[in-house]
Amino acid sequence: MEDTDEVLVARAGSGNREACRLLVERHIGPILAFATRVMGSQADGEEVAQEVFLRLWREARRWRSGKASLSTWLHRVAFNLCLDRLARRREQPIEGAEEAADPGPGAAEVVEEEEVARHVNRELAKLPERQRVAITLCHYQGLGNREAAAVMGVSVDALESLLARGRRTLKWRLSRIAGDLLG
Amino acid sequence: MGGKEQMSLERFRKLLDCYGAESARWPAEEREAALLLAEASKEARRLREQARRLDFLLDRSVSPKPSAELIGRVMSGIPSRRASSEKRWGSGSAAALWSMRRSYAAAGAACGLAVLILWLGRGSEPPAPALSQSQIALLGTYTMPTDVLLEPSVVDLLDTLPAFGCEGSELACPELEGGLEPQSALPLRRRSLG
Repeated sequence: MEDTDEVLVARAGSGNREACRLLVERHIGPILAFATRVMGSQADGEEVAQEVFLRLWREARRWRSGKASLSTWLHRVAFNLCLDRLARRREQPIEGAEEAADPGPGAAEVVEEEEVARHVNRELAKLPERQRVAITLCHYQGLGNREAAAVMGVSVDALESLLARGRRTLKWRLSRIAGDLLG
Repeated sequence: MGGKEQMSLERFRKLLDCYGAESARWPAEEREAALLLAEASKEARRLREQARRLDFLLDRSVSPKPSAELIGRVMSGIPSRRASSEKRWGSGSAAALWSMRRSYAAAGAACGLAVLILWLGRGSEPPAPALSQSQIALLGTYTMPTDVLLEPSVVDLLDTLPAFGCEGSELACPELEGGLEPQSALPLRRRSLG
């Protein structure tokens, strides 16, 4: 039987690197996916993921189960790191940063799977940060509404407002490239 | 809203707007009522079908998979616990010094306690046996250098009076045999009295 997160965190807290490795292997997939979607780049997502697990190692001794699951805690740390990095990115805009091209009304014939995925990612990246985080947590990460609200530090009502606005925007933007699908 | 309560179409629409068409993403406490409405209402099914199309598009976005190289990088970026402790020592020397002082203070307190225990132990020794009269008489023979302090004083206070201002004065100075002696000679005389 596999050790629970709580057992592994306790071992990691006492300096057991193998326990830490098991935690990394268990949780890095969802955290990388979350950070990549929120940051809009896999390279940035990987940097955030590295920092998240470094913090887990440092804080393992003090981490206590009960208040939140380890997954929620990791998402929360990743969320804060992403917001910090996005804020710095706004302060120091990168020269020649790729701007998502407006596909225009004539692009409805884009049906290739990879192409659709690219458009979805691009439109997700263009959403306001909190809407993007809310959709990522609930749709892609599979968190329940209370858990997602806890990660973001908002009420469930506020989370639902972010989700509804985000999905409405995505539906409108994606309808221009896949109008036949969205009907 | 309880699971067995009837859900309104308006709330069902909101649920789809927020969480999409997949019932697994709906809030657990509303899932049952929402599914009942979807079974009973044609409009609810139509709305759910619309929401499913957006879900389909969103699901085209594939999550990145962590590589073994990334896991290795994460682990190599994690310092050993000893290194962390050393870093804390370096950055928090004041705290370390305080900790050292506390250790010394504890050691001092332990020594003090040991001395106190020894002293109390000494106090609990059996009392000395009572002395006989002959033994007490023997103790009356002083042999210590400080015993002289117990002797009656043989110093003549008159010798200590000032030697000046008495000649032909009205101070009623005592008549001294041999006349006035210089003050510098007095210490020598006192020493000879001893």
